[in-house]
Amino acid sequence: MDSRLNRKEEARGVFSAEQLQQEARNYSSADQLKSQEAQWPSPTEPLQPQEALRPALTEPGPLKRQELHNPSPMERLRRHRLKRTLIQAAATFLTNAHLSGFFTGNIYQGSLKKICVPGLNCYSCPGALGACPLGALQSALFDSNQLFPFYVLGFLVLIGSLLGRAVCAFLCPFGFIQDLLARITKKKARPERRFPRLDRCARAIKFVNLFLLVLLLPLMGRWFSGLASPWFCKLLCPAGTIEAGWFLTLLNPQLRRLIGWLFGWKSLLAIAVITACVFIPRFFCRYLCPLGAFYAFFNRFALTRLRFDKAACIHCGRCEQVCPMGLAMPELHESLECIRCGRCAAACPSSCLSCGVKKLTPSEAAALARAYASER
Amino acid sequence: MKADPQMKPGSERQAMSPAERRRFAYVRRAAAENRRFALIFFSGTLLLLLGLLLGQEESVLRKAIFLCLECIGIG
Repeated sequence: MDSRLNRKEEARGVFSAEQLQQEARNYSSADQLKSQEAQWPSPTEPLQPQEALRPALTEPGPLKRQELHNPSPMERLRRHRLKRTLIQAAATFLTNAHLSGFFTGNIYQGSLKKICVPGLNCYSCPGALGACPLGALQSALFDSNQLFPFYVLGFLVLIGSLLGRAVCAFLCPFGFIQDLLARITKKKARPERRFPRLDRCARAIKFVNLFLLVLLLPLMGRWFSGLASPWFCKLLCPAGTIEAGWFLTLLNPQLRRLIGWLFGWKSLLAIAVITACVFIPRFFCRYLCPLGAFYAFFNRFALTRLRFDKAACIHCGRCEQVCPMGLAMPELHESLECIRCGRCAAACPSSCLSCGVKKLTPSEAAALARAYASER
Repeated sequence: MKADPQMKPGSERQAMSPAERRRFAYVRRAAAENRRFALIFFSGTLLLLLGLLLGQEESVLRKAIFLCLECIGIG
């Protein structure tokens, strides 16, 4: 056994001090010893290959160092998800920081409610500090004292021009709820693959919600008082039920006495949306949200863009796998459906997708630099 | 690039080198994107300021501070 181990160690070139001394004793002449010693590694020589693979205890090894400075797409995706979750949590908290309302059942009535929030957050939510933009828009439309909803529309256009649908991915509290629900299970239904035509038709529903329930019906409320209602909030909005309806009816017995068929319908709808969001990522954003439909028109013009470098694309399909909106990436990077979450850019191994405030793709910038340099 | 008075209008681009043409295309696209963004951004700002001048934020406040029974499924 010892002779086998010794032969193996000899083959690897690893010698202990005892082995060297033993070998020295075995040789009688000093010249033979010297010639043999010349072949043995001295203690001052660099590490043998076997020892070089063992990570040092005091500093990160070669693999860890590589991970820090040049992370893999999976690591980039993990870090991006963490960053986005923190931003979403902060936005949700700032939008609903009136925490005492969740215990007392009273809504915030301060002057901060003049300010609309960019995402979908019911202003009857006990924690809400700001006004829901959709509710404010609808009430401004059927208010005959207002000629035109300059304030609310101006706010929405301003936010849309800056962020486009990135609001859905980063600032919307209901988007955050959907992302948390999507993490419950890894089993996902992919309606965009199994029923592509039905999926495309269903995505138009949110635009119908926007034009019919949010804009047209409340506007007609100026002339027909029976239509003067926030129709989207009344009939469809699950955010109002989940964030406000359930909390307030639990905490206020007077409200519980007023529950009728509408509460039943909205609760059923909210449960259906929650269940669907578990298996279809961003179900509400894909098919029903009129606020997302409004911001979608700004996707092509917003300051926050998703850039695709066609020359660098290796067609691996990872962007399509990680896209929560089920888009055929990267061809649909300028689509109305893209919520600019940046998961595709984080997962891309060739960095051909980039999300942010940029004007040129990397290959365009390089070509431009070459064009400038060739003129000198 | 300086305009040559003897050249026909519109033919300057044909006289450009390929590098100049590429630079021209990129700069023009970036400028068009900047113009579109600026137009929409300033339209939104104008609407917002107009709304503030007309006091429309008070009507938003009046709606938001009272419980919306329709929104929670009761009204």
